[in-house]
Amino acid sequence: MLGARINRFEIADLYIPEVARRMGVAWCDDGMSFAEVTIGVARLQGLLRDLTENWSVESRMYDDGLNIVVLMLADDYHTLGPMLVTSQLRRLGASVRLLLGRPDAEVKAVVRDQAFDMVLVSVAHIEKLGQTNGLVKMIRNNMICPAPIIVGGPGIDMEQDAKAITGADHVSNDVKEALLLCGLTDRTRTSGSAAKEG
Amino acid sequence: MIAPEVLGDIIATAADLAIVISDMGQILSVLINPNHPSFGKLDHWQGRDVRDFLTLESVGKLEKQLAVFNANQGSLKSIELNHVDNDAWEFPIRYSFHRIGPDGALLMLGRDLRQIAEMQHQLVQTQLRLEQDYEAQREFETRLRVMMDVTRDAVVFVSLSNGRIVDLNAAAATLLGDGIPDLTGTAFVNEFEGRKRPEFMEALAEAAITDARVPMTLTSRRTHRTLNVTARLFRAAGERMLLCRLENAEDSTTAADTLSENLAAFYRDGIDAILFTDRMGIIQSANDAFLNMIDSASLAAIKGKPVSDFLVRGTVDMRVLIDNAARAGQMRMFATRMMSEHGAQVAVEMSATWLQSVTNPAVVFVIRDASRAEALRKTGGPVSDEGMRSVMELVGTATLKDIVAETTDVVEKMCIETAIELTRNNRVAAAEMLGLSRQSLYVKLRKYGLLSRDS
Repeated sequence: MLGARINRFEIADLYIPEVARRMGVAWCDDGMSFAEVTIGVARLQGLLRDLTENWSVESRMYDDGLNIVVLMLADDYHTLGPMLVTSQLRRLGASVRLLLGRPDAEVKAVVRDQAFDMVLVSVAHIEKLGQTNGLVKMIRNNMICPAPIIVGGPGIDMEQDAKAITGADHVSNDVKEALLLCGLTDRTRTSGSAAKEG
Repeated sequence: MIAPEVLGDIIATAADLAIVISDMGQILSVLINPNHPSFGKLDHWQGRDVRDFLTLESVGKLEKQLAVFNANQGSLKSIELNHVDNDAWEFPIRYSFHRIGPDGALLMLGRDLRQIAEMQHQLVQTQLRLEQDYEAQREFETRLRVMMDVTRDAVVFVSLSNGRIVDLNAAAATLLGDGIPDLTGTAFVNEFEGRKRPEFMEALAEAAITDARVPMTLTSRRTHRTLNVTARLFRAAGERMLLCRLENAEDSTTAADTLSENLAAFYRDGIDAILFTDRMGIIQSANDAFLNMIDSASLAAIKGKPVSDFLVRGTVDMRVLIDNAARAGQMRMFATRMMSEHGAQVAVEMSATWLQSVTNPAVVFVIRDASRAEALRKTGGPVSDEGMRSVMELVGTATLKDIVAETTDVVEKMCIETAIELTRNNRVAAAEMLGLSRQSLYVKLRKYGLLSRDS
């Protein structure tokens, strides 16, 4: 695909999620077996890392950029989404703490001890929305510096009331939209390094 | 041909899990392979709707399958369904569907996919751990980068096996005279004049393992500077690596040592009193000249006391000195009087210098005995006493209001005179000290006839 002059960003941000979605649909239609989907997603994840690693290393460590935490429920295994979101945020100049399926105690400690500008929770399944509510509550109760909590992922697509069910401040499946909802867009890389309070 | 009771056995053994459902999805019978007992008892499934034991996505898949079945269109393909039981455990089964009997019953022969699911689980776990490691690595790398950026030591990581620069910081790049990206990956030996690679690396490694860590003196090829290179050998991930610290030979150790030696000697033997305090004016250390000036026997007796204890005007003097030093970096030729432990006074001229340090800012005072100069100078001290007396004389001859107005003028005059004196007639500083604009200060100076002292 790189040979076909498709930009790395587009491969990561557009093609990878689309392939993942199609594999999910293929499983539902029994066009692909469980094992095939598993291996396919593992490959996508490897591909994502290869594509994104170069950009994320040169993060702006001295800037007063955004500090964001990305979380996934403890017993969820859909890691591709949160990893993609993390990669996008890092490209926007944010410093991201990625917590994939970490135990509650660790999540509590992280949100208590650090001041984040935004908390993102990824939910893969509509059935997990209820469980997410518990996580959102726990995060909110433990944050010393309150930050907006945004729930995203395929889990919110089919549920109109996802925001109410999860108790999140916002629901969104688009990183830029989420930043906009939180009024944080002026502290991202694209709009220069002027660090205003969001 | 096959007896019905035998058929049941065959079906049960051929599949891991066999379910007979009605065309509506009601479970008529559940057969578990006797050689595959890990499903436990599923008797409670019987009579219930099979959808109760499926995940949401799997219900959709089954609905489609039943629609095909009820419409009698073609053969039924195998599908994978995820079962749930009491929300607790989820297990995937691959089912083939078979029509049995005329009444619309459907036999589902299931193959247990839990082993594959377990493999997936392990794969994901490994991935998660890997991600965690990546995150940790990212954090450590950031710390290393910041450290390399901030440290004043010029450091270069060199691979011992190929002699190439693996990494270096900005300080090192400056000493070597090129950018970090250009230097990374080049042979370290090429940065120095008149050295051959094998003997150079050998010498570096040799120097690195001797206890003394004697620096090698080398000349930079680009900057022609003489550099002292101290190496330290370590192993990382099966590779032997050298951490080399570069120092500019001209301004490094020997020169620095001479300077600090001289400074120490000056502090110890100097005729002027030298005093170090913290930024609050608390005495940290003082030399013998200072101790003599205030007739104190030992440093221990005055350490921890504020310097104001030894100034006649106390905290006023101390604040003027420290505030000016903190603001401008230094204050000089400040005339005041020191007071000994026993109350004896001596006229002095002091300077205060702010020593900038993030962790430990300090103020250094150099104090010179000015009693001879003092004798030649006449100050206008008594003015204030006179002013005060004249105010007292007003009682009985004027109203309180007038007296207060007069008093205000006297106090104002005293303050302005003091400020002018403290700042040695620096009107900009005096205005700042009094919180007045320069214009207001001039107006008041004129009002009190203080402009005549103008030089």
